[in-house]
Amino acid sequence: MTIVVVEDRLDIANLVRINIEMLGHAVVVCHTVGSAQRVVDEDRCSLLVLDLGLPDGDGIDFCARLRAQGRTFPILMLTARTSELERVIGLETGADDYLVKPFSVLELQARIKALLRRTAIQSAAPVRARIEFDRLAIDVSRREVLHDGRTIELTSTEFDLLVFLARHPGEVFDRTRLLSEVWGHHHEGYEHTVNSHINRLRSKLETDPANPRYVRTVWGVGYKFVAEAL
Amino acid sequence: MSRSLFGRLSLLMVVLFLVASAILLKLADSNNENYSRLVQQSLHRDLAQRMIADNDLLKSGRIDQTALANTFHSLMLLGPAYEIYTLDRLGNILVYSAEPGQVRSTRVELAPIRRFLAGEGFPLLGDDPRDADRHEIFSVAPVLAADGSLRGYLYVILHSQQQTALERTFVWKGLQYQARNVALVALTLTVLMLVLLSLQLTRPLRALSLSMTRLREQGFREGYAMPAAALPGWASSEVLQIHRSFSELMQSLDAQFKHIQDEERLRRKLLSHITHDLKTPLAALRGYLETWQLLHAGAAGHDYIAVAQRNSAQLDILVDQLVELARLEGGVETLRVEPIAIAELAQDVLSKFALRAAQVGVTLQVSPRDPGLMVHADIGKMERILTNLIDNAIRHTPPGGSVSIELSRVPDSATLLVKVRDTGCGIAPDDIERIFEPNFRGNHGSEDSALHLGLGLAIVRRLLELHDTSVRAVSEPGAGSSFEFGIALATGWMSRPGTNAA
Repeated sequence: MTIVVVEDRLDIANLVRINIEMLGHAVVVCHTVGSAQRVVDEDRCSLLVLDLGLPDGDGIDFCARLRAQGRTFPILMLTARTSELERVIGLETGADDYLVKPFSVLELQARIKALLRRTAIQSAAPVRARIEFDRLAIDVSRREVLHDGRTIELTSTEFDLLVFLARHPGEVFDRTRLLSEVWGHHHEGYEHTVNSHINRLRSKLETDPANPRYVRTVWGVGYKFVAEAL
Repeated sequence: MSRSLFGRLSLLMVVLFLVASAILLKLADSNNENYSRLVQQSLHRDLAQRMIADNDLLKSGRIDQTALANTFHSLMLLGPAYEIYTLDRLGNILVYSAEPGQVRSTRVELAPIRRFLAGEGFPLLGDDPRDADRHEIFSVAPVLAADGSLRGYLYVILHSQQQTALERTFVWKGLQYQARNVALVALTLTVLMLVLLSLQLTRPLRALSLSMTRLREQGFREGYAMPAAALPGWASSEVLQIHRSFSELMQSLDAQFKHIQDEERLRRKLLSHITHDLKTPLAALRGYLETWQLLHAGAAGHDYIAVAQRNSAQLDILVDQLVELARLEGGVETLRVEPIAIAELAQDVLSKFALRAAQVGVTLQVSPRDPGLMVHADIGKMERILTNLIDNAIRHTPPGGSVSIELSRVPDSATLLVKVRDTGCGIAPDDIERIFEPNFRGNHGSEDSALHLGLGLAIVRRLLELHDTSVRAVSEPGAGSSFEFGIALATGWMSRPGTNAA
């Protein structure tokens, strides 16, 4: 398993390399988008750690290009805080996770391990096409939700959130877990987006959003989906 | 009463024209009268003389009252415009032909008669014996005796009362006709004037006024380009000048606005570059220290490295806070307000601190545990506010203490009061005002005190200011503190009593 690190600053590049090698993986370091593209073209890459401030190109564009080329290996982006990060997350450019500089090396190691593990799991999991409850029907392939026969308009993310919760009825998830499972990244500064989407989902799905029946709060623990009708 | 320029000018014009017409009519009328008098009197200048020549009695200077009265009567039948009198040398009236009571005066002023005989210019007006207040045109000739001495005068009023009375009945008709014509002409002229006025003045002004209003509605934001063809070529020079000045003003405003936008963009770029430049060496610093710790756990000098690493971690936090404060101060932050479940958010934030609170022996709680309690706020920033306040509270609370978030509705208003309470060491009364300042460092109870800069509260204050609200601290040294702020409740989602904690 070769992990490609694209970072133009030597110190950071070495830092990342050392820590990934600690995990027992081979590392190839590139300093430019150009050289990274060449390595990827040689089909040697199983995970990409991509810094966004590269000298010969925009990291975000590179990522989008890789996805367009059909590359499906996980990509972990290294970003500085604020505007860059917002842009990245907002655009949903196809990166799987984000780390903000300066990061803890332990965190780096944990994320890489998680990304490698996820790739393995995802290919194995079967996907149910339809999830049905008493008054609620979710068609995953057509991305439709029907409540009491009425179609409910959900955004893409709201839909993904509902599907994830509905696939694990009764199981409680905290924000961090939901962020990681539904949004695909761990970024701490963005956990509030989970709250935001839970609220919006409730306002669209629930008859009485102030007293939700389906998407319930487990106080102090997290959120869960309740299947039984009251 | 119309306030528009056009309306007021129209009204003024109409009034002026009517007044002018009335004055003109009156002038014309009196002019006509004068002219007709002149004509009449000139025409009949020699009337009295001819009457004398035609009458044997008068020719010889004999004034026989009865005979003359009859003659006068016949003559006046032939010429109803005339009123004939015989006067003596002093102007006293001797003979006339009239109904009893018609002739009021007994004499006539001689001055006009003398002027007539002296050949003065017409019209000359003399007394009217039938009406002391009136003066009419006349013809007069001396009655001479055979020896040439003056016996008296033959005085003929050329504009009889009969005529006057007749004129009066017909004049009204004439006036109506005239007035109608004048009114028509006046109206046409007025309309013409108004059209011209409109083209010259009010229309260009209204176009200008509309442009200004439209611009103001847009908030003067869009790049403004005053259409050059908006004004007709014949608009008056003053209006053109206003137009030009306005265009220039707008262009200058536009340029200034763009300039400010550019500066903002520059500032944002600068901020992001600085951030980037600070972060990379920090990342290396922290990363290598941590890596060394991983690879050489237990080696000599480990504790020194531990201190270095801790400090670099703290440095990260400080830089983050500095950047955040700089962004807030620079007005770069925008607010994305939506209804958020504040109690749930508070709980989630407390959960972030659960581990740390457990480590220092502080309990955390939020009340009421109502997932339906909604407020209007930017959710990311609200989380930041709560995080900073809770972090601050935990930092100042000794083991065994508690940090709680209390939510209560402010009576008679759509505001929720949020209180972050701790049972910690409290704040000295002198410090309470200053704790929200960026540089403030008070007495802290925890071991990180040396490393704590205290920007968190300054950030809280700025973030709340963005929400149009403010924060205040209430504290009793030794007993604890409470940080409080109000936030707008989101209506339509009022929770019912009895929570839904599952």
